[in-house]
Amino acid sequence: MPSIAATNLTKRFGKFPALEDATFHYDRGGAIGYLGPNGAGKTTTLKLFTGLLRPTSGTALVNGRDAATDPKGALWDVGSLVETPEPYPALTARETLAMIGEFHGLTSEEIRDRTDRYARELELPPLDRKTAKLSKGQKQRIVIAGILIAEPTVLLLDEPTSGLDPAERVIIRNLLIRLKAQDRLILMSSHLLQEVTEICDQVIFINNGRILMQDTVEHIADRFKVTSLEVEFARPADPGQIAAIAGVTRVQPVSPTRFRLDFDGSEEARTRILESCQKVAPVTSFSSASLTLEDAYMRLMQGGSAR
Amino acid sequence: MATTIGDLRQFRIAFLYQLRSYLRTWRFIGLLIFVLLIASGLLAVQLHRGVDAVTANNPTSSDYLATYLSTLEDAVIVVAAFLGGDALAVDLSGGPGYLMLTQPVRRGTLLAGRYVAAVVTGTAIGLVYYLFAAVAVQYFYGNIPSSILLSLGAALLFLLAVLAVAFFFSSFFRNATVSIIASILILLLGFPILTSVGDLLGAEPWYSLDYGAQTITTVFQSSFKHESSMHIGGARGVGITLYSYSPYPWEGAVIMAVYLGVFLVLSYVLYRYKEVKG
Repeated sequence: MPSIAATNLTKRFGKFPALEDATFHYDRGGAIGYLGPNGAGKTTTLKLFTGLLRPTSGTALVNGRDAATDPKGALWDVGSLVETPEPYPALTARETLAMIGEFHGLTSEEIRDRTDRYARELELPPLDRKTAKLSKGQKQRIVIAGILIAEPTVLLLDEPTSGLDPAERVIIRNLLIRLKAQDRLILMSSHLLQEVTEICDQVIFINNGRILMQDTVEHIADRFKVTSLEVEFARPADPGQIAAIAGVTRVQPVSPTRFRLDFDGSEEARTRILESCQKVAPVTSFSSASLTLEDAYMRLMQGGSAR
Repeated sequence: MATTIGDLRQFRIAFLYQLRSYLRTWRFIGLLIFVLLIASGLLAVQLHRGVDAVTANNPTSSDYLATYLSTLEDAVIVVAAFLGGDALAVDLSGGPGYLMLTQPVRRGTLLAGRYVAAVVTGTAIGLVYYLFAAVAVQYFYGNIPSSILLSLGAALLFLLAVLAVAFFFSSFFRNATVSIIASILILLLGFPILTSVGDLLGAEPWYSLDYGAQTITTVFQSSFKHESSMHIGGARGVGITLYSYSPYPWEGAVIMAVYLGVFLVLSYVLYRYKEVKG
């Protein structure tokens, strides 16, 4: 089974702590979103897993191999996209993919078949054109094809859709969803929470070099869940009366007849609150909304905590 | 999961793709034209002067080759600086490095492949120079002295050493352009100055790569002098004495081999352990 494991992983640049004591371990297929603002330590973590940086202390293991002491072994079954890799300008797209495939020990037939397959799936530019003549998005798709050509079980991706146009993003997102279904282990950093929600099963939140939280997307959303109800009354209602209803934790007047009520999100509480609201004034309509991963992210980054 | 493939096989892959990159770039064509211009220019001037004038200045074919190949050292430096100056810096500055250094290939293997590709490319360019020299000496003297092979060997060793120095700068600097400029300045100006300092002080400049490279032409000398001096400015103790040293062939070979070994090891250590911070 594919695995990645960070144990007390720390990287300091001088006195600046880029990553402090990060510990996580995943040992089965799936997608993990690595979320945090710029400078949080996401890219540093991925560079430590790919041997581009050496840890100040701790270990970064990929499939049980230490990326710092045995980079060849650790990277053997890994496809990684860190920062903005660029193919050698003098080589064609086809040669770039062939070179990467050959480094991984693929046969000429395997390289040809997979190159043709990814040319279709990723809508690659003409393969016999030198990469120097390709656009940024085209180069990135060549690089992504290069990452996938050896069919690695572990994918380490640093904002894989950054710099791509909307159509290209859809292509990559669909590809990642398909790869996840094939039991690959994907660790991807992203700023796009919507993308993480669509692709990932698990999420790690990081800020200022420290991991703030890691769990499944559902659990994190659940831990931060404060469900709101928006209630519309037939006539103006007294906010004090509404706030006194059992289970209501906060009342926000939207208009004299419309109020937003926070509660714990349980089904029983919602039924009880709606029944009580009917006693304050006739209810003409209501709607409920849950916090998204984005809300959880914002709360965590602002120093908030889970319920 | 498949097992990793051997370093030797990966070396071959790194070498072949690097060679392909070198041969396709304008840089290679430019360097080839540069060497062709120097070699053919020299030949054209001598053809213009005529056989008598040329043979009067250089009584033997060996003397002629020593003169003809005196500019080779500078040409080799320029070729090596452009081939090796950015060979490793290109990775350490990010960009292609984020693609190459995240592959399951030891950095030492990549370095070896690129170094050998640079040697092959540089040798091909250098051979053009020797080809012109051989044609010229055959035309003017009707024979090619066998010492041209010794000179060729020394030139190859010099290329290996100069490339090692260029690779060192390439692993030291993260910027490819800075690395190429530093290589040219140090090799073309720095080492000759070191050699001149030794000549002025009357101390054999055995520490200078430029001094070792003189072997390329000293192998043609029939009356080899390791040390000579010339006093200028009147009686002893009044003027100055200028010294001139020429390395023994074995000595020149050792100097160049030491530079090759030391700078290649330093390049490896820097390239192997340098982090790609971006």
